[in-house]
Amino acid sequence: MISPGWPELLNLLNGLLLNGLLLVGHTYFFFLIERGRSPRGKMTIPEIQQVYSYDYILDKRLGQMFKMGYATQAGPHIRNTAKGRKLAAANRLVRKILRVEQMMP
Amino acid sequence: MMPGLLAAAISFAAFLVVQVALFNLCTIRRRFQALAIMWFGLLALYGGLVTVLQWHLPAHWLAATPLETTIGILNGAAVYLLLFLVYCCFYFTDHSLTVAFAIEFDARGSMTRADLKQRFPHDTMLAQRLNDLIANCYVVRNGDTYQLAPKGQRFVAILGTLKRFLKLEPGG
Repeated sequence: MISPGWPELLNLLNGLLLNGLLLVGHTYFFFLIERGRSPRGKMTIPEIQQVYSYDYILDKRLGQMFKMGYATQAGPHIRNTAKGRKLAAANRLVRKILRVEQMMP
Repeated sequence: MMPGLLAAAISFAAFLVVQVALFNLCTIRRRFQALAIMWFGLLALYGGLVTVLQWHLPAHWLAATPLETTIGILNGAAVYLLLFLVYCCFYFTDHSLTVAFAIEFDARGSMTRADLKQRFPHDTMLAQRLNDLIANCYVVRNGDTYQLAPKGQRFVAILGTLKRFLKLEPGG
């Protein structure tokens, strides 16, 4: 038997689900905008490399990995934390199932 | 609300099964387009399932008024759409530097910044990104130079406006 309060519970769970999905979608969209850069007119690859410097990209991405606890640095060596190893393992598994190859990022 | 939610869950499960089977059997070149076509195709399944469930579910699981029924169907469709969009966010992490670095650190134990630059050369990385932008009609190439296509110009205009509105950093 379903208890008399089930529609309220279903509404609550439905609302939480929608909220969670919107949050994940918004977070992805936010970082898509945040990481994007607007080019100026015509550019060659060396010109793009000047504007979009690799050291800046590495500082930003590695900085975020350290801040979020995915990686740690000891001297010049950077390695995964336990959380980073889980991220790597989960992504390897999903890529294997979905036949996704690592693109040059 | 129950028929819409059940139909959304079943339709999304069917989408996953079809996608895994198709991507394992065929070589897909334009992946987002393929995923979107599958999603639209299975929207018909969602519609069919909602209709069937409206007839076969017990009365106390169904909406009491036509308005509630309509809201339930739209709610289920929204859940089905959001599940697809969130799935795409995870599916397209093959371009993510963070994930690529984590996988590489895992395989090698540890790496220096010089190792990372050697493993992921900047010019190859940019060439790959630019090829993706060209394939999706955001950028055109003329000899050695790259410039925005009309679609890219529209995207950049929206992106720039949102970045200014949200007061975000230059990006990268």
